[in-house]
Amino acid sequence: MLCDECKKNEAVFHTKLIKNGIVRTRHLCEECSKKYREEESLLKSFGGVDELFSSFAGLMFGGGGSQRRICPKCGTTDDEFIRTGYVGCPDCYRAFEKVATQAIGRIQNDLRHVGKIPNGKDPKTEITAKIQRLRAKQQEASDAEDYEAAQNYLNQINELKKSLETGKNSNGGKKDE
Amino acid sequence: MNNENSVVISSRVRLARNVAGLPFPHKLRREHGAMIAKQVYDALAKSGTYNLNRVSASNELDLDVLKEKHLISEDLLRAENGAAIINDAETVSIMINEEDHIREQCILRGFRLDEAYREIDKIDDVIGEKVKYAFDPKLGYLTCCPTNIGTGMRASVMMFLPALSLTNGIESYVNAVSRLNMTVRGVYGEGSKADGFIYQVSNCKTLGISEEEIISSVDNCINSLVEAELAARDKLFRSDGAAIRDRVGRAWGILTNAYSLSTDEFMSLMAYVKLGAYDGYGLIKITDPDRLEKLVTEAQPANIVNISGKALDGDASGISPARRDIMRASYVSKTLKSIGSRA
Repeated sequence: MLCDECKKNEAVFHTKLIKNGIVRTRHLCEECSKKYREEESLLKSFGGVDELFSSFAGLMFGGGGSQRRICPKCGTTDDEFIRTGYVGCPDCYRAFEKVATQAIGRIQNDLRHVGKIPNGKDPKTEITAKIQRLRAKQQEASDAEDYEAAQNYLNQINELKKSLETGKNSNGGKKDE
Repeated sequence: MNNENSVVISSRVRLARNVAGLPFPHKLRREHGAMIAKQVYDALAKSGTYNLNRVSASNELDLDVLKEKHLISEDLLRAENGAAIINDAETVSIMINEEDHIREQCILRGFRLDEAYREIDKIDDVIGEKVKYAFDPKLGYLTCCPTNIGTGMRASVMMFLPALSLTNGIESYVNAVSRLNMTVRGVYGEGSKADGFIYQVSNCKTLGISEEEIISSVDNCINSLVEAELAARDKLFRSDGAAIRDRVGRAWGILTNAYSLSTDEFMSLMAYVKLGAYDGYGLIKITDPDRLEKLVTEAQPANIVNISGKALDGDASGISPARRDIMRASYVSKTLKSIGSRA
């Protein structure tokens, strides 16, 4: 991928900028990214930094720091993630779980998938996802001191677990929503 | 043109997917990247006629034509191992190795988000049978950027909002819409200066919300924008009918008579012709509204050169902008006269 700025060198920095809620991507080479960072710090020193330069990191972390972790699978560091807004591979979400969770929570205002499951016909994936959802509901119920409901969720979870072990798709969960 | 169709141009649903076990495109090794397009293309072999367009093997003109039709993005053009798999009807486009490995999208004319979702959902299942998607039970579909994680879904609607733009009502609506977790942006222009008064409205939130909920929340938002735009059109005509009649008439006059026409001039005049064709105004009679909307794409630079057949082997470098403007004027004039007249 070529650099957006000079259109000559290979882009090595990939950043997201957010202005008025619109996400734009920018791909820069080493040299141009240096220029940008200099401009940014110059603007900051004049106190005139506007939204355009408030990087993705600001939105995601509110200025928070990283844990200096590196993804064992692709070599991406959590610093890189904070700087660019991109993870390097699916495993990064586990490798920098803490910063990733923080970022996701800020962006999505949610931490739990409730949509489609790939090959919804694959009972194992579906059941695992159902268990996750029920567990969250169980916790919510117990937080609200509704122990009867919590117990009810627990029974459903146990039945689903049993069906996972036996490899059969029991209907023990009845209706999980 | 009926009320809703005179405001909503097209509906699009996009799903972002990645292949399990592989780094995302910007970290992917060349040989792995090249495989994904083939894998997805093969998966679709039995589901209709699809064409595989590899960016590296395509000429610049063909790629620009696809970009102007909104079938591929600017980012795809610069992606290593970028490709697009597009069906014959040009309603389904699957971008490979853009920000994510696979971006499946269905684009339909008019206000048909639900139908677009059902279509792309089916295609997603077909590809999913051959390609193992990166998926986490808690976080859903894993994407390169957390802004897409979960459903990986963006439901967007392209809208023609001339009255809200002219009466300066657009800003308050943009603010209201963004409070509902949606974004509004100009399609041809940057931010609020949307050329041709064309805007795109889409959901922001992709996690903790189901696909059906996304569709219905965008639907609701579009319905209220349609209502607001139509109310603004009424108000505009009541307060300044003479000016509207004059602008529409002049726009029609120039578009059907000009010898040379730049893209910018075309876009701004076309907006008034479309506004004049709105049933509530009835200033321009159009027999084929779909054709009128298609003209907006056909008159874009790469498309007009492509239609003219003047570019040899996709090399448009010999065609100067001045010559292109003359071709555009002739094409636009002929098309408009064949489908419309002043009322």
